[in-house]
Amino acid sequence: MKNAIRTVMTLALTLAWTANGAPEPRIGEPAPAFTASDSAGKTHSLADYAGKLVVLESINHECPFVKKHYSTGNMQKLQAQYAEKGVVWFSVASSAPGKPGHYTAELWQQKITETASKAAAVLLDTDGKVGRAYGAKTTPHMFVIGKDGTLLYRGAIDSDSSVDPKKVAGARNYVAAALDAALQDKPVETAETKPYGCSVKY
Amino acid sequence: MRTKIFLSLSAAIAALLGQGCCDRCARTEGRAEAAVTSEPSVARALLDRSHVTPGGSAELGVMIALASGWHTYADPPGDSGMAPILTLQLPTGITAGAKRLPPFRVFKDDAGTTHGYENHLLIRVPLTVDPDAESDDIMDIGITLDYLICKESCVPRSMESTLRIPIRRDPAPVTRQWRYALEQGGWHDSQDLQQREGEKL
Repeated sequence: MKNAIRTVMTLALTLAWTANGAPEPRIGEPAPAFTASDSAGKTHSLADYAGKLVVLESINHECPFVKKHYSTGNMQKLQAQYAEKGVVWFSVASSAPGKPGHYTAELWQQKITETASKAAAVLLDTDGKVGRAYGAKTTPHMFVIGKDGTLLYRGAIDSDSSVDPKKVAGARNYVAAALDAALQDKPVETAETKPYGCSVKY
Repeated sequence: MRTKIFLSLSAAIAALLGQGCCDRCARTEGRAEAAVTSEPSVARALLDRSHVTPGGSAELGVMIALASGWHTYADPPGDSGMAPILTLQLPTGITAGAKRLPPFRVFKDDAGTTHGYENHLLIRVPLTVDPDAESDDIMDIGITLDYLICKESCVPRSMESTLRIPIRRDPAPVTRQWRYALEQGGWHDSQDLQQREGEKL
């Protein structure tokens, strides 16, 4: 009986699929490889950053949950704080052409200046390949990839799922906690949380 | 700016449709809302009866009316979105139970599955009045509702309102306005409405 339950549970876990039909990446397993261009025209591959911690942040500036973290400076603060520690932070823009939050490369460059983003780059994922490979459901939806290329964290940026900017300061930041642990080569205590935000506009 | 306009609009609508509104004008509430605002959503609070009795119970409702194409979310909302956050400031003598939302619709897209509502949503909260509450008194319940509406983009909305609740000795039946709100707000299949339809109102 126990075995039967275990089999069913394993099946249920195995059957978690991303929107493009690929299985969702799991914690402790290799993070999906990707290659994408940024708003400045530079191409980035995950493989280029082997040996570094990488953060992926799904972004849409038309989304109030994203606005909450940028209007308070919370996202930029995290980006800057961990860039100093050698973490590579990519904002991943997966809004399809014609959908809210889809901008041209030029407009993205403006947005980066306006918002004082400290991300290493904004990846223009207009075909949604990167977002889908990671099973990104919301903006923001956060992923932390270890130095060895395995997925260390996926989920919400923090513990407050409201749109209220006043609640950012008191929230528990899961990404900061995951990065702090990884920087000290410690296991990530909370490796998976339910993401919150607007749906990704694939 | 939009929020401020919305708040003043919703206050005006609440004043128009709130306390003292007869059953007849309650029947036209949907049209009244549509006529006075081009906002994508309007929320207002209502009570299920004209007044409450000491030791009695009642229901508070918050109706969200959404413009065509917009939707709001259930609790929990699914893969994205936000459940409505209802905060009540209760006076001494009234206690509130857990909020209830009607059966939701399932929305699916490339990013996942969400649960929510289109057109109208009535959030219900059961109230209990203390047996020692004084008759002829009026109790105020402060209501704050934060909710998210989405069409293509998502917009956070907020409503603040005060519901004035008279306390009388004689019991009051649920109003036609409430029954209409149940039908409109997604509760048309609920047992409550079936039972209430059997009552002589």
